[in-house]
Amino acid sequence: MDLILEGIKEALRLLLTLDREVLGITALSLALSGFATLLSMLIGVSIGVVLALNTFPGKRVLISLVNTGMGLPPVVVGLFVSILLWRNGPLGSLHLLYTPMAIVIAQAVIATPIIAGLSLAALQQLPHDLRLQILTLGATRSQMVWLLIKEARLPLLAAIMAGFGGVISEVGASIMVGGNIKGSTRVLTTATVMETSKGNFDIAIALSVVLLALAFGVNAALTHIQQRRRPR
Amino acid sequence: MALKLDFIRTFPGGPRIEAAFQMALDRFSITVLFGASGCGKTTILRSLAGLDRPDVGFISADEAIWFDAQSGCFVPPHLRRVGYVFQEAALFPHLDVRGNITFGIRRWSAQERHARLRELIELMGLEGLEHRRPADLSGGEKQRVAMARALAPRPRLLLLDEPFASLDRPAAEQLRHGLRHVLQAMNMPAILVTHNRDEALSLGDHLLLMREGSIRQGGPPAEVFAKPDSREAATLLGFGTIVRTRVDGRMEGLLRLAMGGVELVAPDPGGHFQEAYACIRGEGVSLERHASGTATQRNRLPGRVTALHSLGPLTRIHVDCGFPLEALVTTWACEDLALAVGESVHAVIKATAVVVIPIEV
Repeated sequence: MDLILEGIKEALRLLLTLDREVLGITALSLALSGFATLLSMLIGVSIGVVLALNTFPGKRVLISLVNTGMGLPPVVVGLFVSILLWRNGPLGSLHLLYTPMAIVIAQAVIATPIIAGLSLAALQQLPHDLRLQILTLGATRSQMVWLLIKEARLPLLAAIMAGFGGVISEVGASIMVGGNIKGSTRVLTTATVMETSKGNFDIAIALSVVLLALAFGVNAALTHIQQRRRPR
Repeated sequence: MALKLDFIRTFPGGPRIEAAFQMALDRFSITVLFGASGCGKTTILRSLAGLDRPDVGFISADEAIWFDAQSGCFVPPHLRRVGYVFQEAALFPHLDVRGNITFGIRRWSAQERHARLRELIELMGLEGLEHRRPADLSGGEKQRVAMARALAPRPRLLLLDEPFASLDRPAAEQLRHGLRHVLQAMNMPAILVTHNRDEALSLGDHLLLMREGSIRQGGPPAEVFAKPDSREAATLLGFGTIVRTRVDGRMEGLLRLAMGGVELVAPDPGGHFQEAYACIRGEGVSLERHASGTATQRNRLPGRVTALHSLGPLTRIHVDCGFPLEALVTTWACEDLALAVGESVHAVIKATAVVVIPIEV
């Protein structure tokens, strides 16, 4: 019991005194997951748009694949990205394994299907006639796509936040492709794993509190968006 | 200055839609595409707007070719200058009335845009609603905004896809009343898709009757409604009674038609035929309790009431008089005569109320 109490006390001290290590790890986590989410947003929303607004053979199969991808286990992603970036692997010459970029790639692979799947749903729930109506009012196809994205901006924002929430709290892939190198690839989750295994509960708890606060923030914002009364 | 089209659109595993007609584009006129749901009316509108692409044929407006299957030419919707009003007003929920109406003219100068907005607000009777959001509008108001929005960029053709279908009756009637006036004021040609007979009759200058994917009959609405040229057209146009008869004799431009021991007198459309369909509108039949014998009507058939359906102010009565006959009488008259199932009546049908469609052998 003492251990836990001491840990919490020390964690509070670390947080209140803005401990440099905790701050650094937090900043790195935000930067890497933020960048990964940005990449996933560009790719994921594009996939969502293509799937929502076009009909082509194989569309159903692709949608099933995206939906499956939404639940991709991070360790599996970690494994495949590791193989890809391995010294003798297909992309080995880029020397990306155990770099921050490797974490960004793995997290982007995890977040892209989440964002794509939710974007698809967001765009599909717009009335079909709205699309045709925009076209008959003199908009080109790209103007129409932009307008639809604007019209669905809240659910799309929710999709992006779900993607971010998915990768900031993910540990398997980050530790496999990043290697938890101090100052380079040590993020909130991987540091928590390491500190716990070393018995440094104080710092592990401090990191967990930060992680929880981030997760809470993301989910509170998501809930706020989803519960907002949508104009009919 | 005309819209010309002749195309075929085949849906995989589904219906095949054929359309061929032309209409003037330089002046006000309303062409009505009339037919049951699912007969291909909307496909024609979408092809004209460029929202759908036919498989074979062409569409041209004035000198411009909008679609030509042979050369692969296809003009995208935004270059066709065609206004489109959907059945359910698809307004932009995040824009107010003003934003919705000016959507298609957002590149005009502020001054022009404002003038056009004023004009449309007044024309469509939307004063005072400029800053409302679609969520705070009634169905009729939404549809008026949708029409104003479609008209704003001064399209050369307006397409209306059952614009009154989702409205309640008073709102629909009010809007219908205003529509002709507005289009006339703008000298705007329009194509209206509907399956409502009142709409077709009161709004149309020209009617195209559609059935099973193709246009079967065309002409002024009153004429088409009075003279269907096939049994199917008669059904679609609301003839409640359609019976197969045998020609029993001809005299002075009249035909004697026989069926099941009963005889009907009807105008002779001319031509040689031995069998014909006799088509009678419910409105053309009146019912009497006792044979009066003084009327000038030629057809007086004794029968028995088999069913009554109240339609509000009118009542539809099915009478068995050797063949099933449908009568449409005012509910007031129905009560006056104390009609009930099983009662015997006399059905009186003016000869001119019977439309004869020859069955060619």
